[in-house]
Parts: sequence; C-alpha cells; structure tokens
Amino acid sequence: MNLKSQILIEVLIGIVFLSFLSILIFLYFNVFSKIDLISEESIFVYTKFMNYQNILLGLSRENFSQIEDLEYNKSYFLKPTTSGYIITEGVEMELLKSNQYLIWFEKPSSIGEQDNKKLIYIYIQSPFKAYKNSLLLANIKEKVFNQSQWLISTTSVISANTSSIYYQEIDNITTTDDYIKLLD
Amino acid sequence: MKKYSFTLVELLVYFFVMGILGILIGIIFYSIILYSENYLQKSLLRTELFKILNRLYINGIISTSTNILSTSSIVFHIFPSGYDHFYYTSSDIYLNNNKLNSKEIYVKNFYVSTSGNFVSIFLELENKNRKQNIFATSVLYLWQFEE
Repeated sequence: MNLKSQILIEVLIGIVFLSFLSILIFLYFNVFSKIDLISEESIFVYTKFMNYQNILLGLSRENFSQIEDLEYNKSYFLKPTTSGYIITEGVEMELLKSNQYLIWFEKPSSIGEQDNKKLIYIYIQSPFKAYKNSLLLANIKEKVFNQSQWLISTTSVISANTSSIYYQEIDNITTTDDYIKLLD
Repeated sequence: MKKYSFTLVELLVYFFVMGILGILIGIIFYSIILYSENYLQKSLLRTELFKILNRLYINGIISTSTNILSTSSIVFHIFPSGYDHFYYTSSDIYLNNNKLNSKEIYVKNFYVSTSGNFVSIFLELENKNRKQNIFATSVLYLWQFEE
C-alpha cells in the first residue's frame, strides 16, 4: 500500500469519525437544551400553581360567595391590586425568556361539588406543554366556629400539596356545644 | 538524490488538515465541557430555589398568624407554640437560625411586600462565580383569626 492510498483511508476514517461526532454533538446540545428548558419551565409552573392555590384559598376564606358566583367553564385569572387580588375574567399572559405562558382557572360544570365545596381547575399553557392542577375550595366559615377548631384545621396540613386532604379533614372536627347550639 | 515517497507539499497539506481537525475537535470538546458546567450550575440553582420555595410555601400554609408580621426582609410565621421567621442577611437566607441555602449559592435579593392579607416574596439566587442567577416570586396568604 503506498502512502497516498494510506492517506485516503485515514481521510475516510476521519470523515466517518467526524460524522459520528457531529451526530453526538447535535443530540447532546439538542437534548440538553430541551432538558434545560423543561427544568426552567418547571420552576415557573410550580410557583404559579402554588401562588394561584394560595391566593384562591385566601380569597375563598375571606369571601366564599365570589367563588360561588363564578360562571362555569369560563376563564378567570387573578389580578394584583394594592389591597390584595381580584378575580378577573380572561387569561393572564406572562413572558419567560421570550416564551409566552398563559395562566387561568376555571370552575368546571358542577363536578365534585357538594356541601359548599367548589372544584377549581388551574391551567398553565406553555409553548411546549399544557399543565393542569385541581383545587377543592370549601366554605370554611360555615364549618369552623371557634378558635380551637380553627387551630386544629389549620395545623392539620402537613405539606403544600394536600389541600384536598386538608378540606376532607375539616369534616372530621369533633363537634362542641357551640356547634350543637348553632344547629339547633 | 534521495527520493521520498511523498512531496513536501503533500506533507504540508496533511499537517494543515490534521491541524484544522485538531482545533475543531478541541473547540467541540471545550464547548461540551463549558455547556455541561453551565447546565450543572443552572440545575444546582434551581434545586436550591425549589428547596427554599418549598419551605416558604409549607410554612405559609400551616402558619396561623394573628397579624401580619413582615418587614422588607423578614417574614414571620406564627405558630401556636412560638413562631418561625425567614430572614435574609447579606447573602444567605435563614429559617430561624438555620441557613437554607448551601455554601455554593448566594442570595442576591429577598424582598417582602404585602398587599391586603397576601405576602409577596421575591427571591433571587446566584451561583458561586456570580455569573448565573435565578429568581421567583411566591405569594402567601396570611391566615388570621376572626374572633
């Protein structure tokens, strides 16, 4: 084998090696950038869901009728004001690294509703994926009558994502004389 | 005169091509290392942010405050048996006296603002070489008794 054909073989092997390398690099950057994006998005979605959950819990506790008055299957979002948050019709738009995210919540048609409980679906639409979270709101004022009961109900929560369990537990509060008097 | 099996021009072209390939491969590997390092730093920042936000949210839900106790850099969570408070000093965030962020992460900003019964906390973290940062705003509802 002369030197020229040897160089030709080296060049061919080099081309094959570079082809594999370029495919690997493409996959590496493509996959990593997507993971990066999803990871970035996850923190945004987590904070948005938790914020909406906290605000809706607060609003329902202050005035449950505003949750009851919401129309079924209509989009609403929470608008910040100087004195708290108000429920506004429409969809909230937010930009995150030039990607547009839509956030809203809906009251689905009387699914799971009973005894002053309202089911709320919170949605987040990203350019890549749609997220949905459910939240069960209850009229606590009608269920909790004194401070000791309130303490039991508010300290029974053990994690940030147990809102539905939390409200189920309220039903199990032991009744007191005050409660019986009110029932009479 | 001795006859070589390749000419000087062929040898120079060979070295030139190999040199270019070497530089390209070097750049590629360097960018992979740089990108991986960048990605790992971002992941670390996000994990730290998740950790701190989770503490904030959990305490926000289970606290039973009798009034709003928050300044521009402290959030108090009142419990029946005492209270917890988040506070920020220069580059670290604390829950009572326990530091929440790791040694490699600095807290750049920690602002607390209130509107009605809601407390908004803006938190910004940055990594060790202070080249990357990440931020989030969490909203808590301050539960109050109505006696």
